[in-house]
Amino acid sequence: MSVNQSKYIRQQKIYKAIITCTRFLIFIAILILWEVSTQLQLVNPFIFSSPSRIAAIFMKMCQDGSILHHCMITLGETALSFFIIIAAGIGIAVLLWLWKGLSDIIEPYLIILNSLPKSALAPMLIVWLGNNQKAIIVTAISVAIFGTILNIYTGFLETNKDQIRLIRTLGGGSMSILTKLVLPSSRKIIVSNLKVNIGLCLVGVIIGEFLAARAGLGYLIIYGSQVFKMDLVAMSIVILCVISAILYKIIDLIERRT
Amino acid sequence: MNPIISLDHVNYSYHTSKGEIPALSDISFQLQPGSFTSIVGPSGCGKTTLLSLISGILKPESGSIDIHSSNHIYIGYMLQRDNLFEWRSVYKNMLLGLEIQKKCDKDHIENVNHLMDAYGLSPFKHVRPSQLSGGMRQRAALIRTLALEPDILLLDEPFSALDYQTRLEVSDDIYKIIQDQNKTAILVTHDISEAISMGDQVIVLTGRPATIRKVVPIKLTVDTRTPLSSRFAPEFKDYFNEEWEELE
Repeated sequence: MSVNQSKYIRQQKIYKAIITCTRFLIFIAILILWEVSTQLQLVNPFIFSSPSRIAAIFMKMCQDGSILHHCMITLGETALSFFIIIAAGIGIAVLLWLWKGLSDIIEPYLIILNSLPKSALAPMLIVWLGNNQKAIIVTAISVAIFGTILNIYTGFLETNKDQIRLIRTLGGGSMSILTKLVLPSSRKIIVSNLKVNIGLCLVGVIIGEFLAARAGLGYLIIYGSQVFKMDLVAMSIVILCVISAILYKIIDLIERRT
Repeated sequence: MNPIISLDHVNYSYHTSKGEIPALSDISFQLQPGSFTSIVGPSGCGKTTLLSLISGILKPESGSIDIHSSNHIYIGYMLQRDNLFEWRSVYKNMLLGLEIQKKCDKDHIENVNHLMDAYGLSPFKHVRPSQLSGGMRQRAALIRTLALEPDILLLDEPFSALDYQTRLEVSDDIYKIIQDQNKTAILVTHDISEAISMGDQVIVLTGRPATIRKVVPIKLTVDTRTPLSSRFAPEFKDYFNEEWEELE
C-alpha cells in the first residue's frame, strides 16, 4: 500500500470514529440533561419522568414478567399484520398485473384509500370487528396495504419491455413473464417496500392498541397517560424505539443479502 | 425445392388512440430451407415488425404467413440487445428458454454445455452477465436461442451494439453455426455491407410503410464464404453500390 493510500485509509477511520463517538455522546448528554434537570426539579419529574424512573419501572416490570408479555403482544400483532400485508400486497399486485382491466377499474379506489389518513378508519373498524386483537391487526393492515399494492404494482409495470419481448420470443406466456422476469426483477422494490411496511405496521398496531386493547405497548401508553403514570408512558416509548430499530435492522440485513 | 416459409401479401399497422400507423404493406417473399436472407431498409421502416410477425409474436392484419413443414418448427429470435438477466448466472441465462418450454432434459442440457465449450463461455459459466464483454454477452444470448434448437433463426440487428471488431468476430461465429447446422436465417439490418456479407439474397425495403423495393441475389466469388471473406470479394463493391442507390 502506498503512503498516500494508507494516509487516506487512516483519515477515513478517524472520520468514522468521530461520527460514532459524537452520536454516542449526544445520547449520553440527553440522558444526563434529562436526569439532572428532573433531580434539580427544573422540570417536574412526575410529568416528564426521568431515566432513573424509567429504569426503575422497567426493572420492576421485568421482575413480574409483565413487560415481556406486553412486548410480545405488540410484536406478535406487528409480525402477523406484516406478513399478511406482504402476502396480500404481492398477491393483489400480481392479479392487477395479470388483468389490466381490473387495475384500470380499481386504480382510483386504491389511490383514494391510500391517501386517506388510515387512523380515521380505525374507530370504525373497531366498532365493526369488536374490541379485540382482530380489530388491531386489521387496523395495522389498513395502514400499509394500499400503499404496498400500489408500490409493488408500479414496480411490476416498470419491467423492461424488451425483456418481456425476449420471454415471448422464447415461447413464454404471461405466467413465464411473471415468474421468470417480473417477480425476480422486482425483488429490490419488494424488499425496500418491506422496510417501509415494518414501520407502518408498528404505527397501525399502536393506533389499534390505543383504541382496542387490554395488553401491548400501545395499551400501556394510553393507560399510563390516563392514570398519569408518565414513567410507564415514557418507558413504553423507549421500548418502541428499540423495537422499531431492531425490526428495521432485520429488514436491512435481508436487503443487503438480496 | 419447396420453401420452408412463405409470406403472402402481409399487411400490418399499429393502432393508437391518436391514429393508425401502417408499418408493413403488401410484403410477399419465400425462403428456401438452409438459405440466408438479409433484409435492409432505413431505420424505423418496420423491419422489427416483420420479424415479430414471422416469429408469431404478432399476427398479420391481412395476408398470411405459412410455415411448410410436416413437424413442429421452432423459430429462434435474437433481439438487438442481449437482455441477459443480471439476477441469473450466465449459465442460468442460457437455460432460460429451456426452462420456459420445460425442456431441461439431458439432451438439451448437453447441447448447451457443448455450445458453451465451443464458444469459450465455459470459464464464465457462474459469473453474472455484467462481468462479460459485449461480444461474450452476445454469444451467451446466441446460445440461449440455439438451446431450443430452432429451425429458423431470426436476427434483429444482433451486432449493432458491438464495436466494429467484435462485430465482425461475432458475425463470423454466428454465420458459421448457421452454416454448420444448415439452418434457415433471416438477418435484419440497416448496414448494407453486413447484409451483403452474410446473405444469399438481400431484400431491400422502402421507408414506412415498408414494401419490398427489390430482391437482390448475392453471388460472390470466394473460396470459403464467411462474412469477413465476402467483404473482399470483387463483386462486393458493386452490390454495395446497387443497394446504396436503392436505399437513397
